[in-house]
Amino acid sequence: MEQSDDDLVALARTGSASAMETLYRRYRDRIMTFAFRMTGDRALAEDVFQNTFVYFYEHLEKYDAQGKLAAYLFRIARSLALDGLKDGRRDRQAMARREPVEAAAEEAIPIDKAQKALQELAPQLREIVTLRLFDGLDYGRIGEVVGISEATARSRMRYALEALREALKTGRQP
Amino acid sequence: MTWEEKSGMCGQWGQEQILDHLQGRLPAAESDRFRAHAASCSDCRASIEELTLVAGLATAAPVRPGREAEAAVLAVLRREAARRKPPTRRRLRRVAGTPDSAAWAWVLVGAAVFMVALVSAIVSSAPAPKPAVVRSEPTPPPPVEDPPRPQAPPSVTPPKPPPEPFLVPPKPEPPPVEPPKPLPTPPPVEPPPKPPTIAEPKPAAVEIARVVRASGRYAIGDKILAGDPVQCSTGVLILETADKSQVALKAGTTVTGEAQGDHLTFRITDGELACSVKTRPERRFVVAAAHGSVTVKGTIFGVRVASLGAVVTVAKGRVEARNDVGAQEVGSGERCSMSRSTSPGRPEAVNADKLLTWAYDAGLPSPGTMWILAGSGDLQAPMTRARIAGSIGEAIHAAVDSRTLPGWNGRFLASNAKEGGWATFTVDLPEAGTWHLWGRFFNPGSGSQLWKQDGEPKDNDPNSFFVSVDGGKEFVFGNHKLDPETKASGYRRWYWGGDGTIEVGRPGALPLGTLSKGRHTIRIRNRDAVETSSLHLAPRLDVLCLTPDRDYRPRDEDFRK
Repeated sequence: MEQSDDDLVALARTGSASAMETLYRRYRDRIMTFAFRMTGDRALAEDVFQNTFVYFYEHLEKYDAQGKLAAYLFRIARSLALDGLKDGRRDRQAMARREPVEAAAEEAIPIDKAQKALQELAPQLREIVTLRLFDGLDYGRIGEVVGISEATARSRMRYALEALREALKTGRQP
Repeated sequence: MTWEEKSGMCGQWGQEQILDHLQGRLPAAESDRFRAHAASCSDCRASIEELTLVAGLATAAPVRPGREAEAAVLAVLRREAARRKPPTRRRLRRVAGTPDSAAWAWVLVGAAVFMVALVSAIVSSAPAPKPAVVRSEPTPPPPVEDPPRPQAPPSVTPPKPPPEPFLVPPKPEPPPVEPPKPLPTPPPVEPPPKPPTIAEPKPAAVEIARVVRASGRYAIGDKILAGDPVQCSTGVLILETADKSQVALKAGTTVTGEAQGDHLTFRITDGELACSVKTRPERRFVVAAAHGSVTVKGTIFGVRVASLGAVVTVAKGRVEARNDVGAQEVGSGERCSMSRSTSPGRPEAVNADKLLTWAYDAGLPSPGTMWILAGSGDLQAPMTRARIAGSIGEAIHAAVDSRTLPGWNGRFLASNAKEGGWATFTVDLPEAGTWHLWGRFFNPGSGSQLWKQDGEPKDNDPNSFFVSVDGGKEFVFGNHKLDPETKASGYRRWYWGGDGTIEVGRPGALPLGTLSKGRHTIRIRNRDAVETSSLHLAPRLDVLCLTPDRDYRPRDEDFRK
């Protein structure tokens, strides 16, 4: 039987490195992917990824065990990503080096185009698309991560998709 | 021209719905409807084409962190684990083996990965046998609890971490045991061959429990013998021991019961169980897992185990969680985690009853819960007893029109009224604590039409009693009208209720306050009965339930069981 996140956190608080590592393996790729989609920059994404887990492990007591660890980790990562993006230097680097990673060769062109359009979105729209598209969170949970209502999350998604669609249709930036 | 038309989008289907459709997240019927619509809508077809690119992003491979970032996280992880881990207490093992450490002790022989030889810290008088140490094969070191090692590159698909090692080196003498796989088809009658490492031979075919809630291949009344692995494959299986303690097993749980004298041990190898234990001081009830054991003295608690550790949740009473490394007392409303290589963690406050809801829902009773047939009380007329439709045994009611009595204050009998009749019950509480009273009520009908004030009907239905303990303060008992959540009325049906302040809402227990252990007198007094030759509106009460568990909600089947 797979142990729940909350049980593993409880074990981690007692110093179980195995529990910590299991949690890490469980969320490593999701957090890294989220960070990369949010920032569009691998170096910045790795900073976000690393600091998310460092913060989490150093402040295990801050997690309020309610079966919502994913939302909690995404919240940390989102906050760090937005902080990182506020730093114009990093953001400009991201713009300059925007590149899709690990996309299959035959998909590179259309995926690149979509990735580019995604990166051009305002961060508050991009995070909604990222959480919905890549992490499959429902709008209620997205609202919890971002700190907005479910209805607002839904309407932001609508704006974001309309902008993305427009960009993909015309090649203009949204 | 609408906004949608201007932007070249269909007004019927939102872009987020189309994306959900492309990602397979739209319900099938809605997807079909969208497909049918898109066949004739050029805007939606264009949306599909463009959003397919966006949806395609999700199919791209996940992004993985670089080695440096991953190594940095793992380093922090190890550092934090070391910082949090309490000092290892290897000497405990030596203490556990000393001959004067406990009045009871047993040897639990683990299946493959563990040894548990545990001694209660609660008792310390008589000799105990030495713990056996068993292991099947040299245990590989764990991936992260080792001393620092060179950073390995992150693996794309990390191997499952091997089990944690024992902190205590194994003794050479016991032979290996079989791996700890739950048996897929537990033999119901014949005990399986014992592994050769059981320290003390168990008498064959000792019955330790019976099935009181059926599940899978187990039927009510089936005997559970010592040494039989019991596997709950579906739903919830509940076993009851001779002393009426109950063990609820969740689906996917395997336990094996062992009896040694009066002591009972349930060894759980996988899954989750919850226990409601009634023990006498001379009797021990233990749940043992690979990660340690839990010793209890009259309590409700749950144990969940998995490969990395066990979590003990206590709803009531106290338990002692113990393994080779240390021991920890866990109290009511607390949860504690155990792994094999660390001392049981510091308990944290949790809503234990909520975590054990699955077991309560399956009928696991609260220990100490007492049931009293109202008809068994000592009745003072006009309180009377009679069997009516749906009653359990005889129900009591006051056969009087309270409005005619001197103590009638226009709504109910005043607290000093002597004429309304009452019933008294003597109870012997098994423990001191905060007790709660439930009653099973039947209110024959609303009596609002009976009383008027200024010409208007008054909201004053005959639906309640007074209750007091040892001549103390009187509480309103019953008095329920409606549960808006379930739309269940408090009239013309039997219901469990108590707290008279909840006229509209979910019925709840009446808190009686703190009561000492031992004998108490409960008096149920007429409050607002209206019973005449033509009006039969006196509230009925057939069963009382006294429980120390604030969150327990009695059900008819609990009583009947």
